[in-house]
Amino acid sequence: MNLLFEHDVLGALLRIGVVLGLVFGVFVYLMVWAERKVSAAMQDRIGPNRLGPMGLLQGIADGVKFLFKENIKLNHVNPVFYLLAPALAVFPALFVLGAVPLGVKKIGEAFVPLVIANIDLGALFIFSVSSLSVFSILLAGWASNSKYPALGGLRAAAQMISYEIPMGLTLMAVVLLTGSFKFSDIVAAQTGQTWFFMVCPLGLIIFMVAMFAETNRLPFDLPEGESEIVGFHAEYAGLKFAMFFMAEYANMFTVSVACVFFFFGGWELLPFYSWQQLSETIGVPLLEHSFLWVLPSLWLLFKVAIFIFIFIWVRWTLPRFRYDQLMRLGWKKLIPLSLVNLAITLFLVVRMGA
Amino acid sequence: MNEQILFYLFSSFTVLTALGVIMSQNPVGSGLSLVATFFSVSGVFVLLAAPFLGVIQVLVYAGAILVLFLYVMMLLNLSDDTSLLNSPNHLLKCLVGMGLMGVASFGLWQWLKTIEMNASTTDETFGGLFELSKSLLGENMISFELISLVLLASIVGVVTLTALDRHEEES
Repeated sequence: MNLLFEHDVLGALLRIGVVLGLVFGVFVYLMVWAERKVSAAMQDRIGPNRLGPMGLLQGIADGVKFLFKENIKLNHVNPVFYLLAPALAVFPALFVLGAVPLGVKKIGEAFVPLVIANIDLGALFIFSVSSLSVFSILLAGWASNSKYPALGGLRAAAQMISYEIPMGLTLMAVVLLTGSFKFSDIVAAQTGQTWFFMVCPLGLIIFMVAMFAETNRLPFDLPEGESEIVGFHAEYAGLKFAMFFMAEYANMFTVSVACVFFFFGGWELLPFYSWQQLSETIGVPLLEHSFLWVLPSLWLLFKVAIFIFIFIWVRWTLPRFRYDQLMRLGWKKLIPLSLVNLAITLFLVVRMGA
Repeated sequence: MNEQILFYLFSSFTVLTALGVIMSQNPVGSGLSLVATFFSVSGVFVLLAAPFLGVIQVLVYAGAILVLFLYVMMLLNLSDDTSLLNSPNHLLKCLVGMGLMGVASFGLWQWLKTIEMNASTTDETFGGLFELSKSLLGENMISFELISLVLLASIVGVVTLTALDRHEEES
């Protein structure tokens, strides 16, 4: 039972503070800013440019706006469930970060991942906890006691459950290649050799499609559907809406990190060329260095940033799917394809010894 | 020591939320309490050195099955006063329930007396992924496959029944 207690409580609290502060205070903030800037660039606009250099302080203004908006009290809702829904959106988004590694440091002979808890079932933990976020959407739609949010909530719940299955089956293929759910083992299996996107490119495609569906981003943003069909949070305003909004961006960050770990070697440098080899070539022990050890973390965040860019890029490139198309894609295309992917991976593991 | 505190935390939370399931006036409230119950039970599983079971508990029960439960409840639009405690002959129901509970706990007690509690059941590898999969796909393979066959049969059964309904409506 050293799962929880291999480190001291104070250190754990410190790590929790650092990770949550970094993700919610810095990454989500930058993601919202990047979303606005990149969207503007793609539509040939300028985007936010008034507050701070390149409009970087716009997010603070937005936060203040959310905070000071009128806290509308609805008479037709059950207040307990109505207020529970945004809280349930933020809870899995925060809780899942407990197993998301953000880098690595070599202490002595051991590679220590920079994570709140390096649990053996890290990948499965992320997958199962983020599956809880569907409750917030379902509850928000129902508790609003209004037609459009109710339909939106049911629509979203069906979508998220459907796309969890191909995502999970693709995760199984990665686990077959690694033999472990632990993030540090998944990286170790890709260190200095092929990354998994070369081994199962089909898996990467399925995972990315499921990623877009799970985070409710275009082309699968039917849960939100802001332009015409109206989504589950139509009755939420101000800070309550901001909680859904922030949870969505935190989920985007989490799935991007997961995808980088499953298919793009996590914090590793390049396929067939690890940080270890680089430090031997240039003669500087990078992973043990007093400050250069942040390089793998920055490299990981760079890869995540590319995924965030793809999220935004796709948003302004593809139109929204119709609901029956979405369901047909999920159940009749992605699930059989992910089973094929699993079979191919199984064949590779058995025949080649991977 | 820490583990004990956590155990009491998780188990008391489990009991409280389980009470919430049966006491709640609102069916959706019951469903959400059941989610919380499963979640805290998974915490107890982790403390019992079965982390895989705990995570799967959250993934399958809380994350998938309960979503479908809530989905149906929200579609049915049940009224608030369907709580068990408000139904007419609730005393009889309580007595029957307590009687069944007594029989079940007596059986459990008889069974618990027969097994030896020793330290070897909680060695390092206990509850780990490899041991679990070895046990499921090794010594217990037949029963494991039989259970999946039962699940498959029930799925096929449900699909057949609903398809029959639709067929009759069309004709």
